[in-house]
Amino acid sequence: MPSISLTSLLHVARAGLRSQQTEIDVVANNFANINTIGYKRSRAEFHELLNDRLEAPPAGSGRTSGQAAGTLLADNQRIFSQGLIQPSDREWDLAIEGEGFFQVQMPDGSTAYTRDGSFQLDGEGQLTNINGYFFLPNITLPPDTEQTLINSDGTVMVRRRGETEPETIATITLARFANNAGLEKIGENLFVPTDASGEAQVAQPGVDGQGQIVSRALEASNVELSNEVVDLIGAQRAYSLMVRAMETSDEMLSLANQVR
Amino acid sequence: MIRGLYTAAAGMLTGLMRHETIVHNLSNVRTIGYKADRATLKDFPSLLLTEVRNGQSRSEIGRAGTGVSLAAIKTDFSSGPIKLTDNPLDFAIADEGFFRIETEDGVRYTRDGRFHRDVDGRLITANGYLVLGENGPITLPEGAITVTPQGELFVNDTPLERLTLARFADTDNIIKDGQTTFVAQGEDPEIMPLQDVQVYQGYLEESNLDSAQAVTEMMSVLRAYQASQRLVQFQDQINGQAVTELGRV
Repeated sequence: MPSISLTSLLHVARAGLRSQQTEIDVVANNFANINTIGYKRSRAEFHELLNDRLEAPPAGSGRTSGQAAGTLLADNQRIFSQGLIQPSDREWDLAIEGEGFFQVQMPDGSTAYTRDGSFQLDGEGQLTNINGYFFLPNITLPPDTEQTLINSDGTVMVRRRGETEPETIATITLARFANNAGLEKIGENLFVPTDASGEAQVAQPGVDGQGQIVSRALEASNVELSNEVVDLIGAQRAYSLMVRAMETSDEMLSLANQVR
Repeated sequence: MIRGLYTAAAGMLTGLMRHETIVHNLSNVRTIGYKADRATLKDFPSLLLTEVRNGQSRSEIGRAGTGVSLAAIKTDFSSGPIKLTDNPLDFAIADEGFFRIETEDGVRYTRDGRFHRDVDGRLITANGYLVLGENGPITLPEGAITVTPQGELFVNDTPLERLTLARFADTDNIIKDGQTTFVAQGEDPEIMPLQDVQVYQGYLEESNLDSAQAVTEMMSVLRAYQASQRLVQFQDQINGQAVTELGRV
């Protein structure tokens, strides 16, 4: 017969409450970023939690370890599905259709990766993202640029004042990872690689399964309102169930206390 | 006299265990691939009571129960509802079968189809265990992955592997091993033939717990626990009376 302690009941319920709370937080974060360019939604993932194997499996318990311990939040899985590509009228608004990330240089010299393609030119004509981090590979536009053209294969062409033919001045490259889900989010819509994601493999757009660049467009977040609402309702209901379970556990403990 | 006290206390203890199973189920109401537990009860061996007079047993009075205990926690292996996620590495099994995964402790089985591709391109579960195909762990080259309902895996429309499912003749031989995985006891399961496999890409199987039923059960357990508690109190009261009043002449 499995051993049981009165307070373990409360802990099982608490594990459930904590997981549901996290799911509500994750959904709320998705909601908050529904209009963030290039945002990739997260989902909370749970696993069934059995107590550690200090205790021998009780016969007939149907489990290999001591006792049930509720649920465990394993991971917040980020879903890197394609967001909707929306047209914009700025020429340095870029969207990636398919796999890959833009690369930006952080102030400390390291490289960060993003799907947010709203870039701009700084005072010296150098391309930066909205936080002012330099685009990699560095692209500087000649001061006498009159027209800029960004092709789907990443080549950047400019037509200088007085010229009729545009010339190629740079090529945008994209980075991709063996496991996107392993990327670590560092805020400002930026990701950095980890051991789980693998090293960045940089290639020209359209080559080696890399996505293509769409100029004058932005990738909307991949958050879908209806899915999030369904998840929120589910998580809230599950939370209420756990509160109910906790109340019941408490009532049982109170009854046990009142035996005499 | 005292026997009744133990019988009532056994009712309370069993109530706690049933409640624990329900709370564990409820806390996993949103866990993908979760299979609900059910506590089954058994009564203690009942006693045959006989009337004893002058050292000789006469007529039988009847049988008296001596309490209740937990017989076993059984897992309900029925399928849970399947939801659409559109994530290419999410899989749901319709009807029977388990994904086969390799852990450090050997082969385990799961219905949780949230898979990922790791740094080396291997297909892994959310816990990081290798997903097994026909020829061992599945390694995915880069490219678009499609899986037919029979589990045949294609990368960029080139056939690669088969996602094999295991089937157990008797679900009593599978026990829970934590993290929504199961371990086989005794005989190894059969690999399901292609035509029996039904696996859906972009879907996940939700917990098979019926939350309404669980809450109802929780209410009934609470009341049964309360009744047992009253019985303990009542027994105590009777014992008290026996001690203080019967002795008085």
